Amino acid sequence: MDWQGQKLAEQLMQILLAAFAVIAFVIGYGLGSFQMMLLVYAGGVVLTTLITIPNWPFFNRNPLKWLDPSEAEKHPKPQAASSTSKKKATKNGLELGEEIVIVEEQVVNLDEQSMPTATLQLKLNFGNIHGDW
Amino acid sequence: MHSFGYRANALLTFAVTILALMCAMASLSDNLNSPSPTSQVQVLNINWFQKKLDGDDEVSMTLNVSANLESLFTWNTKQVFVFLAAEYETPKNSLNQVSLWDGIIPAKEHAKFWIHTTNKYRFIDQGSNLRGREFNLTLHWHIMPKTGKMFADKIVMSGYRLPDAYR
Repeated sequence: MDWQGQKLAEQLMQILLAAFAVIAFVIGYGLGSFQMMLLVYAGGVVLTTLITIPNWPFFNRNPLKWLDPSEAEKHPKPQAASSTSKKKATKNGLELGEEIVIVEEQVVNLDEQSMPTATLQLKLNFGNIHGDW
Repeated sequence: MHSFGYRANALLTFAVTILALMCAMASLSDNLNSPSPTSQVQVLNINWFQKKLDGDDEVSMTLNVSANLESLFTWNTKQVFVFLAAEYETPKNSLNQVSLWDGIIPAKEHAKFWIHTTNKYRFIDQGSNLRGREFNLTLHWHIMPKTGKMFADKIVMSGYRLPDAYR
């Protein structure tokens, strides 16, 4: 299931159970039968289970776009990410002598071209993550 | 919500919580019921009335208990437990309560009844205070629910008197 599907499954579950509870109570009270209320509610729980738990296709309408492995090979892994360095910078707006502490050298641009960089990290750290959650 | 187990757990927990809420509402709906029971008891005969060897009085009597408890039943009633108690005052105790008979009414169909019986449980005093004693016969009931709060109430019937001498 993708993220949208999971949210949909949770909402569906809550709404269906609450609705069946109300229906069951009204039927039970109207008929004067406690057993009927429990039976209708049990039926509602089973129905909700069948709708929300299995991995139906309509829960996967917004699938995550994982990078194709062959594409990832073409972009090599960048330098190490956590290197600490101090620089004295004389940029605009800064007094002479003021220090800027830069923790991470790497600048990550999240545009189309360099998106593979972040994805590549994932691939190399956790293996090739693919497929359905 | 990312796996079957996660969703199944969330669904079951929510379902049981909602079930508890439904049961609470069912119990609250019992308060909407305003019962109007009636009952009548006749003491047909005093079978015997003696002072036992240990000094306590004991009496055996034949009773005719008739009652209509149909209005006590709701959709949330499992059974009604009813018992008849003799209540009287002695110099030593301000209230003596002795259960003479009890029964369980499982359904509304059996709630309108009459029964002709001797006392199911022995009517024994703590001492020797029963000669000429005036007593009330009180019909108590407990409405036992399928879920939730149990209600208890009673009807007091007065005007009964034991004989002045042993028989």
